[in-house]
Amino acid sequence: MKKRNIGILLVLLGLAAAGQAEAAFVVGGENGWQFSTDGIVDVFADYRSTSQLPTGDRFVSFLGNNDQNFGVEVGLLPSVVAFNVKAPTVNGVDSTVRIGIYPSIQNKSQDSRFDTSPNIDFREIYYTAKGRYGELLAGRALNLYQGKNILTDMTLLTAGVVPGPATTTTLGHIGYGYLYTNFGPQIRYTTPDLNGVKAALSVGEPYKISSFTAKTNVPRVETEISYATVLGGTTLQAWASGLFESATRSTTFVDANKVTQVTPRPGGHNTSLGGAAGVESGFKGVDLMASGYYGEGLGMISAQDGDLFGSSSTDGAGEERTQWGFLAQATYMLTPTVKIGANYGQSRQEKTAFDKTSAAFIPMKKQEAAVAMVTYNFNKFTQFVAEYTYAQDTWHDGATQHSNSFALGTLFYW
Amino acid sequence: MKKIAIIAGAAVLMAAVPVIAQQTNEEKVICELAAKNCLNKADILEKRVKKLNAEIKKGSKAYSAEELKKLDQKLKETQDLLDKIEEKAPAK
Repeated sequence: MKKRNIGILLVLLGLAAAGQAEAAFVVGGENGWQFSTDGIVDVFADYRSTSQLPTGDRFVSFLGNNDQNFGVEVGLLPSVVAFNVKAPTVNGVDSTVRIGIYPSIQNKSQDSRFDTSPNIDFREIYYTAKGRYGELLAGRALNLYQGKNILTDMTLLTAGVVPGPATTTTLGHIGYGYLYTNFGPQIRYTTPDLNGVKAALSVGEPYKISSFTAKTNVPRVETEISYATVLGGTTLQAWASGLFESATRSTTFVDANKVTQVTPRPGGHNTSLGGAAGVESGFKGVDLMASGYYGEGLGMISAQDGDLFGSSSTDGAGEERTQWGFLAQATYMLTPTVKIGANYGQSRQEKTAFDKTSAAFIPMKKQEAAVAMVTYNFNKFTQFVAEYTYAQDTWHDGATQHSNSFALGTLFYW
Repeated sequence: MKKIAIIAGAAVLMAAVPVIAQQTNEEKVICELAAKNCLNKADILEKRVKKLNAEIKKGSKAYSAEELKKLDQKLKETQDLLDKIEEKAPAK
């Protein structure tokens, strides 16, 4: 009996000693060139049960329709295979290249078991040149606007909301607390660190603001200002980000019956204008985070839905809708290897004057989700996750739909 | 009863999480996705150590003996935190 007790004690202490991350392995370095690789294998088994979709012509639901589904897939972040190259330092400038490939593991849909496309996604291919002047980034990378909102969501490395339609990833809190900023081609300048403060400005390829966007001849501009510090045993970071883009509307369009029609507000302009902010603090294993966003002409899923997902950025009269949302989160390191966490988020959309008079289409009012999770680090590179998510959509006519989902996952990091 | 006490004792030991832990896998991933523009605790503390060393080097021309003592104490605290992150033995 005594031996058994000691055994239990040793097992528990062994679990406690299972440490944290190590750096990715590095090759070379003698002549100033270095090559390293990092990545994740990310596998989640999830079960989702969704209630009936209300009838009527309404904004798309991402929760499915009166169905139950089991899937084995990647979580919010796909699996990752990344390669990093560091060049020799020249005139005080450090240059690096990162190529990040983000494969999904599931088939395109459960109806097409031989169709694996698109399971490779080159999300990152950029170089940076960093010196006393700051940093230049050129290439494809995570966009700035609401970038930190998604990066501070605990479901980034779990599943979060499990969507009904076949997608390359689960949603986390995309559309349920923040909008998906996406990875995009850009040229970005970031200032040097000024006592923990950094500011960044990027010029990116413009996206369509609505399905009636005719010209995208003005760049999309994004910015971020962030602050990070360590005060005694407390970590603190805060950020704010912004987005601006303007695009010209078409004059005519071809409708579903292939008849040419005059576009609402023909030749006018639409603007995507958004702000976002957040704060996160950690102390003795407790980590608290709150983030939010507000803007117009954005969308309900991605930061600029454009002509996708029912074109929610603008209304039937061609005017921008106002969208806003928030995410609140608490996590706690129960032991050095076990973390528990819960968060709740909403993405909301206001009715425009046109929406109030039109009965033809019912826009989404609110998408909300609550997540509870526990993660366990088996060793320095293997993690297990268990998670429960409740999600609900509410349209502007008061109709609702909800889903419950459970996810069990494992991640391997190198 | 004894068994429960042992398990409870072990649980307390496990709960003694270091104030500042080494960078986790999650933090590493977040840093990579943010093109290294992230809350990097080691980076912040290294900069602070450099800054404190620079101030201490100014010596009695810029600071009183009391102020220098405070700066030395701050440097030791910061170095200890950094050592914890980098898993080195704390400075004595």
